[in-house]
Amino acid sequence: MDIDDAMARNKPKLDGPSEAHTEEQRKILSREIAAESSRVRAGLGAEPDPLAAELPGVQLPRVELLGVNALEVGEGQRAGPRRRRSTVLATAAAVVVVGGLLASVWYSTNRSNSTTDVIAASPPVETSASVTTSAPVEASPQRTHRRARSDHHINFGTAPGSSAAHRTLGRRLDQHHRPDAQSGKR
Amino acid sequence: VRQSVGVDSDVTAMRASVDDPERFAAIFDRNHRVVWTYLARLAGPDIADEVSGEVFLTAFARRAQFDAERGEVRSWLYGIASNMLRTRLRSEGRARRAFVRAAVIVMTEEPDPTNLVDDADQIAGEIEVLRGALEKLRRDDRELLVLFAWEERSYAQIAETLAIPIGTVRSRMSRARGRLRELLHDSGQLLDDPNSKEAP
Repeated sequence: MDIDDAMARNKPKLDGPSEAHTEEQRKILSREIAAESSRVRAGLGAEPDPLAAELPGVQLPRVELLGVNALEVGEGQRAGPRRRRSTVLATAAAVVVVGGLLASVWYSTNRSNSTTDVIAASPPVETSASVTTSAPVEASPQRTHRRARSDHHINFGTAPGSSAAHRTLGRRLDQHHRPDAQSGKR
Repeated sequence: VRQSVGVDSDVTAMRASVDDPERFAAIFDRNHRVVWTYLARLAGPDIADEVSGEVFLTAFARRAQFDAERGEVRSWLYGIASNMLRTRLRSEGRARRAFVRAAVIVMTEEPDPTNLVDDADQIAGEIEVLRGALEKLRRDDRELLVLFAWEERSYAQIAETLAIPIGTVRSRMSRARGRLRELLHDSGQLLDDPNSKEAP
């Protein structure tokens, strides 16, 4: 059995649209035609296509907008010069963005390393006696907590180039200074 | 609308309708039934009722963009109908369900008396198997086979309808026939070798 024969032998037989449906469609189209005729007679010219932007599926007009004859270039090659140009521009923009991100990451990493090296190489700072012997400053628990959180966020948590170890230390400090943590309550 | 049905061809009427919109009525009268039937074979009468009117409203709104050098008016209308149906049945699942509903309607009809096969049960069985196999095809392939075998469009007209080169139509038709043959062979409906060479 040939495929075309099988298809032809089983061709669905349909009666066509009902007369009522056809009449209804005629009326709708007639109204459109009458409105358009009035515009043309009034010298307004044909109404701009209101569906042009809403029906991307309609092929021939869409291809015409690109200035390319679909029958000449074929499916998958419909992109005209304008679309090719926009594709190149989009690719170039993407390359610039990705390059910028990579450069940012590289800069942050190097900056973090150099800071660590400086800290490791610097001599220990001697603590001033006046500081160690001075009377402790009374501070409210809330204020201490606020300052600790602030230190954590500025110096450890969100500073560019901060390492995971720094962030962990920040979290521990944060917990230590939290009033609830000190009182043993969570 | 009817009064404007004249002797001019679809192309002439389409061109004239740009400045004289009433000439478009002839396009509707000559092609509405054909477009409706095509839509009904693919998706059933209900969807054909809904979409066929939109096809002609769209064609009327875009009549100035019609280019006779790219194909005939009916191919253009088929193309609009195909795309509007695709838009409406966006997913493959919805398209298949619509096709199955159309199949149920077709199978309830009386067998074709001109059919050489006498056994009504066999005819019904064959329709069912063929429909089942068509349903498993990709939507594009199914559309192509329906345009060729049921709408009796030539390769050139299908190329105009789908806006693809005629060589692409040939290769896709070959692929669709091969796939359908395999499906029918698997079902036991087609007894010849599914790998046999495709007829030109």
